[in-house]
Amino acid sequence: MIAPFFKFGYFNSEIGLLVAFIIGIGFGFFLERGGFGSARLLAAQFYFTDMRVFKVMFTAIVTAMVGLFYLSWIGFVDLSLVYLGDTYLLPQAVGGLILGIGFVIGGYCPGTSGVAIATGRLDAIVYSLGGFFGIFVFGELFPYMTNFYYSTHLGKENLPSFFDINYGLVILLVILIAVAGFTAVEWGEKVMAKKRSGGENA
Amino acid sequence: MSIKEWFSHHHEDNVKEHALYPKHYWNSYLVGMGLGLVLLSAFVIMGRGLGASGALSTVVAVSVNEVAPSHAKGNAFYEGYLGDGTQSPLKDWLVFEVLGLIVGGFISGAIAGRNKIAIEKGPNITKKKRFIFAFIGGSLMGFGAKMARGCTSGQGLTGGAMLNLGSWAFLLSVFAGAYATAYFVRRQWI
Amino acid sequence: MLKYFANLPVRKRVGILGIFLGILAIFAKDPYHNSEAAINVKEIAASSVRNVNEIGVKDLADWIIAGKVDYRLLDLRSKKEFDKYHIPTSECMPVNKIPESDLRRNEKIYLYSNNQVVESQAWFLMKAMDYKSVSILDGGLEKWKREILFPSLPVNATNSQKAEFEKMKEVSKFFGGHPQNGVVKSSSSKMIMPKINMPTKIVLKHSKKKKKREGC
Repeated sequence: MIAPFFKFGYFNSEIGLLVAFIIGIGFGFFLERGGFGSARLLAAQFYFTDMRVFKVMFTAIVTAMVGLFYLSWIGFVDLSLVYLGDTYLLPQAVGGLILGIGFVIGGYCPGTSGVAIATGRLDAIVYSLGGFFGIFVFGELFPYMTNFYYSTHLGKENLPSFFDINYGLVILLVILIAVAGFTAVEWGEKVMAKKRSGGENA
Repeated sequence: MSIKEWFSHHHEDNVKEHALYPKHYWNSYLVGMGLGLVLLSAFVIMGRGLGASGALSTVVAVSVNEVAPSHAKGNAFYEGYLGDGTQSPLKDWLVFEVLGLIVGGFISGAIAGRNKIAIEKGPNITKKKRFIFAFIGGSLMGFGAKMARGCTSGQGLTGGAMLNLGSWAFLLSVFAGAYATAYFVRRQWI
Repeated sequence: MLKYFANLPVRKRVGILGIFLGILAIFAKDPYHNSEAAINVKEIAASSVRNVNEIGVKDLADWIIAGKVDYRLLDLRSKKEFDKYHIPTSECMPVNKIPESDLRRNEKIYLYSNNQVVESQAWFLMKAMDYKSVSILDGGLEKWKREILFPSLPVNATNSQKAEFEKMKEVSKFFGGHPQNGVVKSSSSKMIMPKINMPTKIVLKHSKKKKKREGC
């Protein structure tokens, strides 16, 4: 096992910062390519007019998940050295709800707002300022919320271990759900398109 | 259908209705695979995934520290982002990654001719209202992201690929919260 | 069959490939709790000969005193023996507990025991599990006791040896041992060690380990 390279000391953290920058370029590049620099396209997901948020996110998750799993299987990557965050079930669920509400109201998430700023969207700048403000509020309230913040701590938990299923089986299930989801979404988009063009193509 | 057609905006046909949308976005699945490979390279090279909200938090912590150092150092949340003083807190992996993200987004937009000063909003709302909504949305996002220990890039993509239990719960909540609220702010987008 | 596959639209092909990869994944072992290991026999045989996997007791003592604890020191003996005395900064890790431990492949790992066979077994096991840095404490616990806890001056000591002994007296006191006055016959192979119980008053410098944030 020789990967992750940084964890095995192949380069120091200064180079790691350079790696961060380069990976960030790739990240931002693909986000913009997919149209994620546009708040209207992002919000359209939640009105069922454009499902690209679901398609891109789920495809990315499945790609990385499958790649990581197979690289680990052949003994290239030591999966135990890849960072796995602790699970705090309740705060993460509540935080997700709040973030989702903010997402559809503001039209961005932190990463996409950066891309939007890069392409000149002024509302993204306002959104980011709001983001700073929200984090500041959280920071100030943090000392009073520590009980909730650290509640339901399940440690390092992943889907296979929590549901006691074979890791590979979970991978298969996620892929099946993805394929089913994409098929449904494609069909749905076709139906919406037909409806909107008033049945011209019928 | 040839591969060339598949790569083009075939699936974005329903988006053509909105005349302001530029064309030539890549196919969503292709973009997704590209993002997935970027994420995978982060896993393989650094042993960590992507993120974005952490960089914002670092900026907030550093700012608070500039204005009120003793207050910042006494707060466990800010302290976590300020480090132990041996090096500048801005020498942070996520900060550099977000800087790269901005550059990458700019490059992609420049190539496609999509870079222009504009305000993203639906046709039925004023600019002022849009800014107010953007600020409110951003604040909720910032608060929620810190509560959940991440945002859609970090917890969503990274945690999702690692099959992290909390991350999948987070993803479901994000979609639930967004869909639940969409009706109430539809005036802004549609 | 292949022709049918080639005529499918690209999307369907990727979907089928994905499902195939998913089905294949069922047959893999758990990436986190793998009880199988593959060893490169040439490499292990070569490193056994090269003798590079040992650390000296004096080096270890210096690191502990300086607070430079960037390693994991494993005591391979039983819990009872561990509780009676163990080298400061060490952890109790009998060999059978190693596969399910939280030891990471990129950590510096040092092993010691009062039994050379056990030390070698643990070393081999960890090398087979692909731990990158595994070393055995040269001489084991016995040498630690003999040179660090209870250092002694041989007959006809040279001046440099006497100076060395003065230094070792301080080290020994730090670890709660007693420097031996008088000399010990160097020919006796089985020395009776003075009894030592776990000293309660060792003050260790803890180097501030900066935890790098890896979340988002």
